[in-house]
Amino acid sequence: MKSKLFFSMVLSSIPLMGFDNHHFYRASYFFHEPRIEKNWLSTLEFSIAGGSTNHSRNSDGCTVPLFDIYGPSNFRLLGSGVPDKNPSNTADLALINIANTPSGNCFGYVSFAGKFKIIESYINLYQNFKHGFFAFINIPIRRMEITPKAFEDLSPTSNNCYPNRYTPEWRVFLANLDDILAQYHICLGGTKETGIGDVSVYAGWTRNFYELTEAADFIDTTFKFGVITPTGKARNENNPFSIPLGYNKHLGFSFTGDCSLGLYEWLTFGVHGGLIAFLSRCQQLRMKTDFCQSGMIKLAQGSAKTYLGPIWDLGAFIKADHIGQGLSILLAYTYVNKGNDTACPSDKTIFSPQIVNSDEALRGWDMHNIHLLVEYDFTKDGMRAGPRLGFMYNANVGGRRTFKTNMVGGYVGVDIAWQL
Amino acid sequence: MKKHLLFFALIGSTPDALYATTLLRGNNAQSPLSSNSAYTTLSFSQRVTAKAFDHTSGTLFLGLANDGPTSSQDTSNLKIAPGAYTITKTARPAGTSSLQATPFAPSNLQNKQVDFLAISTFPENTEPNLVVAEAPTGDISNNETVVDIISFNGKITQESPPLLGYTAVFGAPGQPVSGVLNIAANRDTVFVITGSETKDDTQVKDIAVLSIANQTLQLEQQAAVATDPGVKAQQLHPANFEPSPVTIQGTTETTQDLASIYWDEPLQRLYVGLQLATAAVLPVNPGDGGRSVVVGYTNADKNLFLVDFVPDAAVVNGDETNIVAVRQGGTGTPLNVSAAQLNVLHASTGPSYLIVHGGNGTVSYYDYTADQTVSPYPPRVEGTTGNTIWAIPLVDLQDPTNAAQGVEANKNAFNTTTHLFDTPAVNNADLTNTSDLFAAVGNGPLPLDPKTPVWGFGGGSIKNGSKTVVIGQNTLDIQVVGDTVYVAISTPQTLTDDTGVYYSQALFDEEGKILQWTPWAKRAFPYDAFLNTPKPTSTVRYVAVDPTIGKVWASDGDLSQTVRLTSWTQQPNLSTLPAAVNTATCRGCFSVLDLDSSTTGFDGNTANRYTLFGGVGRVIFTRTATALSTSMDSPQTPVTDFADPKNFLVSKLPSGAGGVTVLEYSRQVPPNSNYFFAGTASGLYVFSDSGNGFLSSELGTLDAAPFSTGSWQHIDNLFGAVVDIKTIGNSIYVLYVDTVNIKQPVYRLFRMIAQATVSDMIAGAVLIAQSNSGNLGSTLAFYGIQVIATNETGTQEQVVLATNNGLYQTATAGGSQTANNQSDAAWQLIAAPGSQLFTGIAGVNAPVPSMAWPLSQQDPTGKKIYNTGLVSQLIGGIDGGIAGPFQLLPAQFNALSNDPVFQMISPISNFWSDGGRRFFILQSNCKGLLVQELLAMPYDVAQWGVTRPAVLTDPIFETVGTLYWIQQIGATGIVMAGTNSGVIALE
Repeated sequence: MKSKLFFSMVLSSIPLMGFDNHHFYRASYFFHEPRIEKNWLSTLEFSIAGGSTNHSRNSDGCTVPLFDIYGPSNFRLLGSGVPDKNPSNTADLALINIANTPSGNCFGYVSFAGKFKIIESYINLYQNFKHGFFAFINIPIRRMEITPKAFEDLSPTSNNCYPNRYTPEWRVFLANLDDILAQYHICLGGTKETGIGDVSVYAGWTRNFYELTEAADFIDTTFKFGVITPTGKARNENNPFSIPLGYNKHLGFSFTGDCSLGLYEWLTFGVHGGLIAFLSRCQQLRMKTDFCQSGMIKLAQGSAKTYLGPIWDLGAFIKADHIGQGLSILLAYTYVNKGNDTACPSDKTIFSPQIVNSDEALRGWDMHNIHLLVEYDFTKDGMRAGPRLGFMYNANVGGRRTFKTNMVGGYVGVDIAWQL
Repeated sequence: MKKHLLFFALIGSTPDALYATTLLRGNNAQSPLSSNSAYTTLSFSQRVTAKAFDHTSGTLFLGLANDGPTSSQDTSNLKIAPGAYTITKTARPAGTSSLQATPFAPSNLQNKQVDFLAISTFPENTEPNLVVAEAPTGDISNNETVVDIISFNGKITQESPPLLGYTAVFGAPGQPVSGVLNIAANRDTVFVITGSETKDDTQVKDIAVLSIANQTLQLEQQAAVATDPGVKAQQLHPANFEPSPVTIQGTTETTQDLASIYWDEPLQRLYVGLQLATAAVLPVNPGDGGRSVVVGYTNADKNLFLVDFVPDAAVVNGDETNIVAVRQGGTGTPLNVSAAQLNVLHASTGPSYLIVHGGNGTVSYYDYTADQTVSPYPPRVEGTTGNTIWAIPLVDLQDPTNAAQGVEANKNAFNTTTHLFDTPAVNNADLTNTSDLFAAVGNGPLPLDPKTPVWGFGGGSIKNGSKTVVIGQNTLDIQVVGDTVYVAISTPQTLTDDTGVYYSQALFDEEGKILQWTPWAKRAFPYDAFLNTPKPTSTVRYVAVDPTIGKVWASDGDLSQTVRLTSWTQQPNLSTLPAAVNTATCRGCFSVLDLDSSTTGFDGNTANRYTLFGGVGRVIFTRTATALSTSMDSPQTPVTDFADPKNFLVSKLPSGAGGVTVLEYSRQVPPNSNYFFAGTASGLYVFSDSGNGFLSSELGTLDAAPFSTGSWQHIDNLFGAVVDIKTIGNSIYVLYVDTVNIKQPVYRLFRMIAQATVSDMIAGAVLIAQSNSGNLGSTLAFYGIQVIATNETGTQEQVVLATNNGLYQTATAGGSQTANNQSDAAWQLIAAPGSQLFTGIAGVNAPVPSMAWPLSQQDPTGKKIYNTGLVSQLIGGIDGGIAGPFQLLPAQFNALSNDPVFQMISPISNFWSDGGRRFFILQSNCKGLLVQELLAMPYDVAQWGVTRPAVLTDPIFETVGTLYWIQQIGATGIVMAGTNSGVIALE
């Protein structure tokens, strides 16, 4: 009976995903269930998932073309406040002249569409110790592909509006745009990045309470504290569409708490809360130089100390556990919120902190996720190793300033009980 | 719907006037006793009899009479005892806060009549004290003449001891005086012109000097005569001492009890004005004469020293052109000279000028000293100089201890290094005279018949035995703000008299001296603002222009009981100009062309005034005012019915024209032909009558030719987008940008002459500038042009061009109007680019402009960001049409301050000024949808208490996305601004 119970509890623990988990560019993964309190239990998991999208949610939560996530790009003011402009240079002059042209009716705004594709996998390794303590290592590996399309000019098309796309300053600006971008070392091309994300190392403590009442089978609680190391490749500042593989080289510290309640030997409810805080770092950054600049492209680059906003998440799940042999089905919801980033530019004569931090791209994001997991547990009584196979679907169902990327994937895992 | 609600909210619960001016609420508005709703539009139940406006704090002080409505008013129960409302105080309003006059009179002044108010203050003081002179009341034979001072917070009030006049008895105190003729004050001194009527009706005027104690404000009369320890006033007239500051050689006569007084803080000088005749009785001795202006100063002991404003020897016998002094030439009729009101203008370029109302002759007045049996009473005494205002250069040695400080300067000796007049006038040739162009404020007389009395209404009274003799006040209220003189005319409009608030702006020569003045062509306050008062007139008794908010206070000139302040609106009243324009420019109003009475070619040819507005594919013609005759100085009545096709015409440009961003009129004097011009991104359009020009004398109502028969045609021969069009009536300059080479467009400036037909005119166009070529080889972009007149009549000119590579001017011998190619134009650099990028150039509203305001983006950090805006003042000159030398003076025209906050304003996309009020349209850091902001800021920021630029925050600006232009519209008194959804108005 004891061993049966043990394996049952193991199987009730659907894998926790990486702590380099929450990102604006795709739906988050299911958080996890509490860890089994079993001395020297080891778990090894491997997951793979992918998704793609052409759309994002903007600051109002509305669906927009992918790279209008931070609003259409205000090209009229692209050069406003940007240093080292030479009025005797045709490209710079075009930049200056368009900034001096009156605004109105979306004049000077462009919309960037594009496609985002991601395939990522996680390798998770757990090792329990005694008295509920355990350790955990998470290794994310990602491949992200960004394919921007030619921008769409949102300026009025009719001469019934002024200014419009026929306004001379605008036409001259567009004709010189390639030269302008080249002058500021900006490439609007697509990117393909493959590599390791931010590796996480955790220590945790878990406690399981069994056979509480006739209906309540167990209550499990787990707390974890860990470090998210900046192993992922940073964003390429010369490509406005570039996305870092991790948290852009910020060292993070994470704390999570999970609790679940098992009922009637097949039903489990659980809740989750987590927080990731990051250390600041100095970096070269593209920053806004005018309050009214918007969109992905910023010409001016400078040194700044950046403070990444904290990420917190709350979630809950319901799970039908081992219904029909080893089959379990889990439905969960997660709300993820990332706080505003802050940049403290070194050269305040060029970069006003107020202007820099008015950047939508530095503002936080939030996401509502629905997770569906279906898992089959192959473990039989008396086995030391419990293999399992799962399917997962994570959907971004709401939020602000996020890509609308839903993720589909699967995973395999094995639990090894060194002591029966 | 929301928008409409907002409009009404902006002006209060219900509109109580044709325009959006906001009513100052005083004791009448608080307790309207009359069932006649019109009376609720009154501010006060008594007349406003005195005004003092503190520039630094923006506080408006008003003094009231203790009378009620006149007998002609059916308001027997309207009168409310003024009580503490005898004096009121109103703070500078913020946004749309309601205007409430705070009662301010201490108990001893309540229910009295205030004759005069003066401000006691010092630079940058925001809590000035108020000096009050009340009218004698009750059994005046026993009354003592005093003045009072009230602290800014009203907590301290001090009454002076009885004022003493002058006596020749050494060491003895002066005799009590009979009344106060005028007052002035500075931080620690009050100057009182006292009047005394002797038994033989000799009019005695002295100047009493009172010190103001630092903390207690206690007033104490001082021994004003330096060599005499007796407490007494300094004698002014008759001045039986020699040398006299008033009298030259003989004995002069003051012909009226008018006396003006002005303390000038920068020069530290007191100016006193009188109206004089060379003698009381005939015969007059040749050489007898007088000075209408006296200049004075005090020492630490408060001794008052009066100085000859001009030396005796400089005044030639019989010369009646010297404005402030005259000497009898023969034994004929006595000669007169008047200084009915004085002020000092400190020009933005440096020099100072005394502003004098009057001149050689007398001002017309009502004679309250006449026998009251005379009918009509008071009788009119008609004069000759009540409609002239003069500017006389003053010596400024930057040394108040120098006796020459503040006297009339030698007009021919200007220090071009300090930009000051530093040499006193010694000879007659040194004196300013009536033929000097720079002296004639308004470029001529006010639109007012000199026979119309401008003296005698309102307060001002002295005791004569047991009766009060009303001596009146100057009913022209003059305010000097910056480089501009504003004049409120309180007499009604007639066939020969205009009314309301007119202004004239100083125009400078290449050295910074005043060259000439703009004509009295534009009103600064809406003509019909007092429409709903019980006796509606458009007269204005007092005016106070506040350039820190760009608004204008005015009190009505008839009942003198209503005070209003101009306000921003999108105009709920659909019959007015802004509302009419909004109906036709809802997709944006991008340009304006105001053709006021001074438009070249209008004088003597048309009595109509027009304003054109550029919208999308259309130009809206409006007839904004009509004059009683075709003469430029004829009284003008603004048009109010814009539903009438006579006054409002929407003319459409050919399809695809786009937004009209530039408008111009050819300004030709007959017999040449005239056209209207519109510039768009699609090119140049000309409004003509079937390809033919028209005479300015044909410009009538808008439902008649040439408007009704004319149409716009595209000029195909010249291609590109139009950047600018300018003319002052000679050549017409059209600046194009050609984008055939889209990566590097070519800018071209064409000059053409108005011809009888459009085709002839265009065929004669010559190219006088092209970017990246010839002597403009290093320029890539032209941003704007202005035409500077280089002779007095404006028939010769040079063109100023703002480019990416500096500010250029033509240097064409004989004027750019003769240049036939770029080589002729002889472009030369005025200002190298350096750390600035000239992005435009704003023009002055003048028919013969000698100056302009280049706009540039600065690079104060040296990092080539070009993110701050600067307006400079470019002054040209009359040099016979030869080039320049033009110069930027001041080069930093944002503000008279070294504080970096004034130089770090956002880039300026447009700038308009009347010389006093200055509006900057800024490309601001956006706040929500607002991407452009309007800044109102005087040049002398310290004088006006401006410590940092503050954009206007009236709620209307929250409804505005883009501002394109701002402009005073002719004689309407309305300031309008073009927006992306039409226009807004300050009215």
